[in-house]
Amino acid sequence: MTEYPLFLPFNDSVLSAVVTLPDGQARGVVVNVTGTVLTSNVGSYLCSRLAGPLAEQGLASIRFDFSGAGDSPGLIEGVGLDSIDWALDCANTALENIQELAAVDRFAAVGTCYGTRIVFRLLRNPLCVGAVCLAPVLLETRAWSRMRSRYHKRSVIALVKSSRVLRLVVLKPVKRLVGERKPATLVLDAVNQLDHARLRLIVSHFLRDHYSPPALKGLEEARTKLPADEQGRLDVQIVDDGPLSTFEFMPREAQDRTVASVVEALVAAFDEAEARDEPEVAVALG
Amino acid sequence: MTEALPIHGTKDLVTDPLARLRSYRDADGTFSEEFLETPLGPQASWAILTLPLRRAVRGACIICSSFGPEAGTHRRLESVSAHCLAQQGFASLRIRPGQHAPEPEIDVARRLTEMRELTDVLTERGLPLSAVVGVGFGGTMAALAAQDLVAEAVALVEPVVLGRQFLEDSLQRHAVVELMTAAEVARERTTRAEKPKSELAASGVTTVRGFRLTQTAADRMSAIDLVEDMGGYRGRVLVLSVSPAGRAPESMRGLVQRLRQDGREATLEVVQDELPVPFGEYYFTGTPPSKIDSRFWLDRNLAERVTAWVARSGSEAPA
Repeated sequence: MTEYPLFLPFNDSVLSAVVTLPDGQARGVVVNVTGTVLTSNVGSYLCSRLAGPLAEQGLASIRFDFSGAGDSPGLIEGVGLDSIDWALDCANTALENIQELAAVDRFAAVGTCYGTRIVFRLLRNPLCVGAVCLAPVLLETRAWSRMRSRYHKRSVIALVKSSRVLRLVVLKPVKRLVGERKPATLVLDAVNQLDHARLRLIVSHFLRDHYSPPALKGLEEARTKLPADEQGRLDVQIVDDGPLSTFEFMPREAQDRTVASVVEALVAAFDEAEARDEPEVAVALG
Repeated sequence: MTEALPIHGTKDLVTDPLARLRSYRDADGTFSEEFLETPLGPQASWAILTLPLRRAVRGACIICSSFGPEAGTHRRLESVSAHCLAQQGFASLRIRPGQHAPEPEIDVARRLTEMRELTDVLTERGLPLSAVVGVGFGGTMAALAAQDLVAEAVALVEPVVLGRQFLEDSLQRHAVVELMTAAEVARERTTRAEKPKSELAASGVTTVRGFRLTQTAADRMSAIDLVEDMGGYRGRVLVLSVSPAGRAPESMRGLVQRLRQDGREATLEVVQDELPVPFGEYYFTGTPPSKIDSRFWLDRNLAERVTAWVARSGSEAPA
């Protein structure tokens, strides 16, 4: 395999990116969408760890810094989990470039934390054969998150949080009333794309990885409404390794397990897509 | 629109998209950036060359990256600094992990080798070295390299004066992160907090917050004391401290004082910033659904101050 560090034109600026091409013609491409993690590697350390094993499977890949992060110039003062349009533009730019450079359209996507929101949207693309989402942000952002965000520094909130009694009497009932419990529309929409793609969610027990039993329950309910063949394309792995959103700090063995799981899911997705195509090719040749 | 540029010495490759995309010219036409074709050092690191376009080149800077988590949290600052320097007519080179960096490693000797190779690149391109710049422990290594590289000036942003202290702080932060991580999962009661020290002692190698550290590298780091190690340096020095209280720590004041006593031109500047998280740590703050970049303005402020200081010493060039 060969890696190429590049600057991809993006609006009036560029995105710093690294493209990895396997030896020979690639069978597909993988776009890596990181979260808000800050690592010395372009893209993220996880993305750079995936590049080699993917290339061994004949898959080209691309990793990139979001506009305004790392070596990508730009002015971004913050990130909103609900406003993904600019990040989706970045990911689509990376995707279009790797498709052109590897001369293949079929693709899969990998996302971590915030990046999973972008990957859920990429699943809508009919050329997408699969996705792996690590530490996925599953819940809809509603009043509870907005309150936490807006008032978390207020002294009265600090007082309530510091007292066990007040937490029980005030916080818990409020959370029960306005707290998020359902998977986000974006997630449910992704589940509905399984007619053409596989989706693996790798969920850890860590709070910072957005672990949420109600969201997982909601996801399971959504799965049961799918046709039987599509149900098998959604795979939720709950793992002890983590936090996945800070992959680079995980022990080496845990990193290796995670990389293996991501690669296995992606290879399965491409295998299935190729198997789907084979009868069509046979008919065309016949 | 951003414009792809022909790569230095490879005009015939412009038709190759992989070659063409290695460089670009910014939208205002102020600077260009290029990933150098030849990787550097024992781990084949990539180097980014930033060149001024609107002004004649007054000189060049090497921006020395740090290790550990702060290598990631200072990456944007290094990039912004390169762009600011270019606006004032200074080229710069900075390093990024390349294809053969399977495991991030803390290794001062390797970084110093890479910096020597960067000076060779500058020489090949006819760019005179004006200053070495570094942030955090990157600043410490910039200070160590400045004498060897015969740089006229060295700008250190929040440098680590004592290597031993940096090592201790790294291990302490590793322990805190591990304890917090363990606390997140009720059923995980064990902690890896004490593992690095004992592992380093037992096997001569360990991992600190995701970075490989050997006993040799730890010993090399522990021996660093900038007050002593900068004794032979003859150039100008800027020490830029970031502090919520607006006061530089004793170690940095001591370093500047010693340099002045030895007759050096040493400047100490302090940037007051509330620093919601310690400088060098993950800087997005706030709770979902929004995360705020708490260093957005600080990074620009620091980059501008470093640039202004470097430019004050550089020879004037026609605009």
